[in-house]
Amino acid sequence: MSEINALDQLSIGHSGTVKSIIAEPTLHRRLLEMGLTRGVLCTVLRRAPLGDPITVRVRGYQLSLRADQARAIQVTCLAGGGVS
Amino acid sequence: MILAAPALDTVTIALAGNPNCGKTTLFNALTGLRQKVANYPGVTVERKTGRCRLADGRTAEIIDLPGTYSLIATSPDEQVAMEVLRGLRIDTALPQVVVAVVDASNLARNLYLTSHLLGLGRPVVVVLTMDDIAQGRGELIDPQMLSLRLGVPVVRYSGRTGEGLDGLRAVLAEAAIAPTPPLWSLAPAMAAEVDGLAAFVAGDAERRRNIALRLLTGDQASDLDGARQEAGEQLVLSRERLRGQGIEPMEAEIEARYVWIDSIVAACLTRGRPPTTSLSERVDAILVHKFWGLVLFAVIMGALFISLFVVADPIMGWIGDGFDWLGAAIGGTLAEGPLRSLITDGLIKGVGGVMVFVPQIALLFGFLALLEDSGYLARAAFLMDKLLASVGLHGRSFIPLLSSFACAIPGIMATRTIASPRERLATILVAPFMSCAARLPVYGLLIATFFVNWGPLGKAGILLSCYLLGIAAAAAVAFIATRLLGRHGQVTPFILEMPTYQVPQLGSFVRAVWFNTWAFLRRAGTIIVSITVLLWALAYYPQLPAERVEEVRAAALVAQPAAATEDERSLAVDQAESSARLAHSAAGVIGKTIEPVIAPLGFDWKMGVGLVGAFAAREVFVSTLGVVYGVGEVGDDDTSLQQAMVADRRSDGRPVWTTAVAISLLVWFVLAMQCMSTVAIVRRETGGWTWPIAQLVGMNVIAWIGSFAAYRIALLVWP
Amino acid sequence: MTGQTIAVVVILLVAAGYLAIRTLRKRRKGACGCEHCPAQDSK
Repeated sequence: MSEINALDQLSIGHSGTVKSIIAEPTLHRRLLEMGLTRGVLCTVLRRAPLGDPITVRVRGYQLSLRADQARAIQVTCLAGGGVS
Repeated sequence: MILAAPALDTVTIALAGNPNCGKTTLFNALTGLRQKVANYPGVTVERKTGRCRLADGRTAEIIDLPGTYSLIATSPDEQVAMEVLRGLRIDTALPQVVVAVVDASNLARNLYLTSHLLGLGRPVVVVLTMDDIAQGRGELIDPQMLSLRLGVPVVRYSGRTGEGLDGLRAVLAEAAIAPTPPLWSLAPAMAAEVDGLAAFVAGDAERRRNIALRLLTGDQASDLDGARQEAGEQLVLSRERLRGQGIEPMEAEIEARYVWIDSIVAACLTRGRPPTTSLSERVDAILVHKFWGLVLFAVIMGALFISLFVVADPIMGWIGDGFDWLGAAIGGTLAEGPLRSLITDGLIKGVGGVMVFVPQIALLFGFLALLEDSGYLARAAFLMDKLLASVGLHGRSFIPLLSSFACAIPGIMATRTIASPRERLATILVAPFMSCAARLPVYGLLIATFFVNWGPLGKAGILLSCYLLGIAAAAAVAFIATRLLGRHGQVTPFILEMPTYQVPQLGSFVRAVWFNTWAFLRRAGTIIVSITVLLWALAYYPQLPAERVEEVRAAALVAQPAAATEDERSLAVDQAESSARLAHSAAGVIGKTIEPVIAPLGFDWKMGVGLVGAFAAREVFVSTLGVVYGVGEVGDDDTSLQQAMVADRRSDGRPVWTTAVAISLLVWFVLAMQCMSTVAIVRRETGGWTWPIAQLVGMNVIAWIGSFAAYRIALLVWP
Repeated sequence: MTGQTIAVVVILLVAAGYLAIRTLRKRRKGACGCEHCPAQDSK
């Protein structure tokens, strides 16, 4: 049974597939346009000091997001994690 | 209606693409030096156009659009890019051909913008850049397949080698047919609503569906205003029906595009080997590490500062000696008189005094270029974001603020990428606190004179403290300003992509050093020389009449204690004469007038004259001191500026320059707003006089208070 | 002595004239007047 978590909850090195985004329209649109559509694989690569922002790998590139923005993204966690 | 129409045989071509995709490199390659940088009227977005000759001989007018991720804009420059592409700006002709610059190492995300560009109804040419980076990751892209799937020509271009440019010029000459807009499949329910909505909108079949889809997904561009009126109620009803079925139109459309994009990527991109942690990521693991990242950042910056003293010092010595020699040579050939004084005291002591600092400035710029080239700066922005956000700024403020360490003007212009007006204004207000290159000669002079015995590490430490003071002041002001400005405008999402690391090329270091040295020499040769010459005149004229000179000398002699030696006596008399001459000059009068205001800070009137000159260019402070002390020299001794400063005495015999005074002056220069050019730019970027004046007055008040406090505190340690 | 004074006056006029023209030109063009501009484009 896969867990569903917000993206900012994932530990470094773990991945998840995007399930849904709950955010105000501009942010929602921008996140989608940057490639965070349903089913896409995201891997958390690192967090800045103080935990914010977070760098995520998505569709082959690195994207940095604030923690509160990453919280808007619900992902289905993959078991085992690991870098992909 | 478009007011700006090109000549009949000129093709207007727009370059569009994501930020950092190599678009500007391509633009530079196509247009060479035939570029023009201006402003889009009404907004503070930079407008870059240039000319290029196509393969068939026609002239092309090329517009380098601001980098954008989508045609639905979220910042002022994206808005401009969208408006130019849709022909909504009366100041820019509708582009006849659109070049979609696609970064091969980020194919999927770049194709998203391309998908929008293909729907504009004009010929599109795709230029594939950064192929070498993709190949380095084991990714191979088939341009023919890509061309087939997109329905437009695809040209490969290498920014490093220039390969592909001629091919591009040929393809652009032939581009005439608009591609069929790409088909992405929408869910049946959505497609049905689009068709239904299209019936209410005017235009031919293809356009109607396109417009209906844009309306449904929330596109706010002004070219849809008419259609939105026509659709009216239907639009709202359509949306509600879809939401009732669990379909969010915006989301559905973007997902449909990405499904289309994914199939293209699958067809065109083959992986030679499984993706492993790239070198870039492994380097990042250390450089952006929570703890080590910050430590390394401090180390890198520290090394930069120390090298400014260790590497630059010997060269600075040679330059200083060279000017001294020149001064002596010219002094020997000319007879005494105003011209000789102008040249030796004015030009050589004045301008020469500033030129000594060229090595430090050049090195600073060189290192900044290296850092930028390597891709490290994006990581630094990432590290700094939370810190910046805590004072009301934004991760994107980092680059403008960092640029301000060179010069606040390009830094302030770079704030255009910050979408939120409040964060942008806060960044603009504090940018001048970042100690710019023009302050470096002042810091350099004061540190070299009064902290001589502290060694390179100590001197670097003081220099670093100056920079840190500026940063601390910026943080405080930003914090207060954002509280006062209140919450208007959304907080810009910090979404920043990390470019791949590249080994910085030695070429960029050399080019930066060369370019900035030349720029500084030009500045010195023009403004600084002109102002110095005028300042010399102020310090030389009006001249003290001969009888008065005798009186002053006689009075000084009489005032000497009986026990004074011959040397001390003659020195005191000479000093009295020089002081009297200077006090009699126009500069002296100006300085004495200002003196009451600056006396609490420990400054004397000579510094006052320097401060006035510094409003034109901060470096002029150094050259003013050079002139004032040079002109004030009496007798045969040729003392250097530093020696003259240290030897100077007030009327009561106390030294004019003490460590406490130096510290006070350093603090002043860190905090004061003295660059009129910056005031002008702030006026332009904020669209009015309120903010530049508030900044000018506010910063100088802060500088006065800071200087006062520093002086009083420093006096406790160095009485 | 007079020769030197004439030379000085000429130089001063040139300097003042240069600065005046420069300030007027900057006002009209409104462009960035900063010579430090690294003018490097990375966007």
